[in-house]
Amino acid sequence: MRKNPTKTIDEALHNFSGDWVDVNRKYLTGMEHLLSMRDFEVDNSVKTEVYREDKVRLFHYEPLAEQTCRVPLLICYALVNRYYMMDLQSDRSLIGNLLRSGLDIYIIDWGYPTKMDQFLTMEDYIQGYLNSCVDFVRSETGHDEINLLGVCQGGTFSTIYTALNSEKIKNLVCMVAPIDFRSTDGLLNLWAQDLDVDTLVDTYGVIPGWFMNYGFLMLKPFQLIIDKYVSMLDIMHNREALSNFVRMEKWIFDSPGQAGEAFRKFIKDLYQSNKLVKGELEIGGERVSLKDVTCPLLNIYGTKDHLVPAECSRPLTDLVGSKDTEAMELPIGHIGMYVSSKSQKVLAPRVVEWLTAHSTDAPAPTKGAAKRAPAPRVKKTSRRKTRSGNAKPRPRTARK
Amino acid sequence: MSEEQQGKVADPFGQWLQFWQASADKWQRAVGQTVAGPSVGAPDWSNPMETWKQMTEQWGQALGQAQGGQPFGVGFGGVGAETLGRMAPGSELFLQMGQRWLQAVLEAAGKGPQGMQDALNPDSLQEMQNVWQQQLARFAESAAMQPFGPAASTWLGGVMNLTALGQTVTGRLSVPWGDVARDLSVAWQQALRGDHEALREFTKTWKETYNKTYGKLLQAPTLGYSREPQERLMRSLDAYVDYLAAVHEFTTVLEKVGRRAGQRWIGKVSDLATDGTIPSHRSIYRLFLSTFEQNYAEVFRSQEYSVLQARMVEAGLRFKRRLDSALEDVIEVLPVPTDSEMKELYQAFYELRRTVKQQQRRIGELERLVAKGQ
Repeated sequence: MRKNPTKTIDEALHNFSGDWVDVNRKYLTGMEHLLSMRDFEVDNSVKTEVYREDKVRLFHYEPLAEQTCRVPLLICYALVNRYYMMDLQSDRSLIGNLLRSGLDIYIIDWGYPTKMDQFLTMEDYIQGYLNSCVDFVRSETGHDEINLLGVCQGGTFSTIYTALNSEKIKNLVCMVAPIDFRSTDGLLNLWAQDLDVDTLVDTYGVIPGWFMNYGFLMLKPFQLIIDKYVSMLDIMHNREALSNFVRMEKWIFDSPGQAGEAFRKFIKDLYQSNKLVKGELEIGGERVSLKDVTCPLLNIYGTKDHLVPAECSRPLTDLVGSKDTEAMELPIGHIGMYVSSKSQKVLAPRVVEWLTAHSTDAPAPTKGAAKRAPAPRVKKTSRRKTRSGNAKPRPRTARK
Repeated sequence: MSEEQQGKVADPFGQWLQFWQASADKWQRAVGQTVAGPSVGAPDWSNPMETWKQMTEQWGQALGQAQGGQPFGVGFGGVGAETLGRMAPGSELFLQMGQRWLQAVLEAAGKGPQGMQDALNPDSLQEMQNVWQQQLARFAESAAMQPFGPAASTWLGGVMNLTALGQTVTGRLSVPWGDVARDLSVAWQQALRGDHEALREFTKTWKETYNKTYGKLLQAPTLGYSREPQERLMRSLDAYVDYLAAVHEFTTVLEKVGRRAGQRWIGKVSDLATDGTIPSHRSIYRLFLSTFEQNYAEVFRSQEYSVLQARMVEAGLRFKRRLDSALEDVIEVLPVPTDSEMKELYQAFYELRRTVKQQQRRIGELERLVAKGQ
């Protein structure tokens, strides 16, 4: 942007026409790039599907370095959008950075719910699928306790899970996790108060992804609907920058629907009634108390987050029963947490450092240790390596 | 006795055609006279009812002259002139009723300079109805009714009562619109000049009046063989109107903010140029973004916006549910499952899947106990 104001109309016109030509040149070059961009990879790190239950899949990443942290890490992403945000581009990949630092990582892919899944509840997700994945990792690695990292809504789920199953979790890391929904900073918090969620769920069954996207775009309509694409004109000539833009665009609009019953409870009990903080939330008939989260906690949030404002996440540090807690406040937004260069330099190293330090006292893995405790029967699928998270769920493979 | 005297016509269709051709010809001439005016100059359309009356009267006179002084002087369609002649007083009865009605309309309409527009206000309509009923009552007692005996008077009284009742019913649909017609007109004209409050007021008034009138019609129970699907269709139409009103109200707020943001943006651009410099197009664009984003953010944070947005979403959902329900009536005759049927299936499947998982967990626990020898 030119900083010096121009003095004459001639000069202004000259600048405008010069800029106009420049932008059009960039646009046309960018179109060349777009037309030759057959496919672009997201979800770059190599991983293997190790477990599948209904539409939910559990992946195990291929290690990129010698294991530094003794305890495996399970990542629980949100039901909204897709988990590959954390591995969107190879040079700015949180997953890649964690793997290169020697973490053993598993990640849950919740899949794309269809109308068939409309009756899935929060209990099904947390005490069902998440619990199955935790048990699988425990069983597979021989660790009675594993590390759990929850992202956004996945952080809320992980916190609830840890409160209900504290014996299975060694350390809990929450990233941009909404916990205290009283916040008036966030528009989503305000708008959710007046939403007739019963009518919404009863009408759609599975809340469409486009409906969710409408809400997200309306948070900053001029920035997200207009300026984003106007600004794209300035970077279109750069193939790499354009590829990254397209990757992000794919992620933003790759929006699975939300299973209606789980959505109903999440909005009514959390957004509208703030029951988790009040100690009134019940999952499957069990009361959830944040004081039951007694393992070490690393609470990470961004001060420029407009989706989950810092004041939604910050209170968790003091609300849990853990004696060992740490808050990590970063001056970045919700998406920036995963892709900004700032977070790449700071976030992954700190998470690895913290997890490693808090996992040194873990007992040596005993194969089959978890099998001694009552655990659900897990279904292993044939292992399959994959690089891309683009694909919709494929037909099931034969199970054991 | 000639064929005509016997009421027989050799070519009934030709006679019938001839009669209507003659009528059309007289009508055309009557219209021509009225439109062209009895003397010179353009027709006076400022009072269309008066013009209509003239046309009708001239046509009646012309037709009467053509038929030898009687409108039905020539028999047709297998009916002789004599029979038609006897039927004439009956027809005359209807003609006179129509004429009285026309007279009542004209009396009411003639009160103001705006002619028809004034005639359509609720007071005039009510007065018109009263006058018409009085005219009809006088007619019922007049000598014209004597040949028909008391039965005809009773019948006419019944017609009067039914008409009054019908007008009461239809009045429920039309009178509230008359009550607000002037407000709506004023609000709409102001809205066209860019007054968004007026536009909002227009929507609000319109919706309230709709709910009092046609909304009730769409919400009323329907009858008969197709009652169920028809009622579902009516409900979905009603929900659609409600949704449109909600969208209108919502977008009105957005437009209002946009207008205010636009004014502020222009003001800021002017401020940039006060020292004689010309701001770059990019700085103007940045200013546009920041100003609009900020103005909308202020509104988005308000309770009023949140409620409006939620109401619009809720209205859209209600419309979708009702439309889906109406569509199922169509779909259920096809060899495909409906959404409701699939929903039942999904629920059964979900519960079954849950039970299986619980049992698998239980089996696993028992297997472990057995392995331990317990």
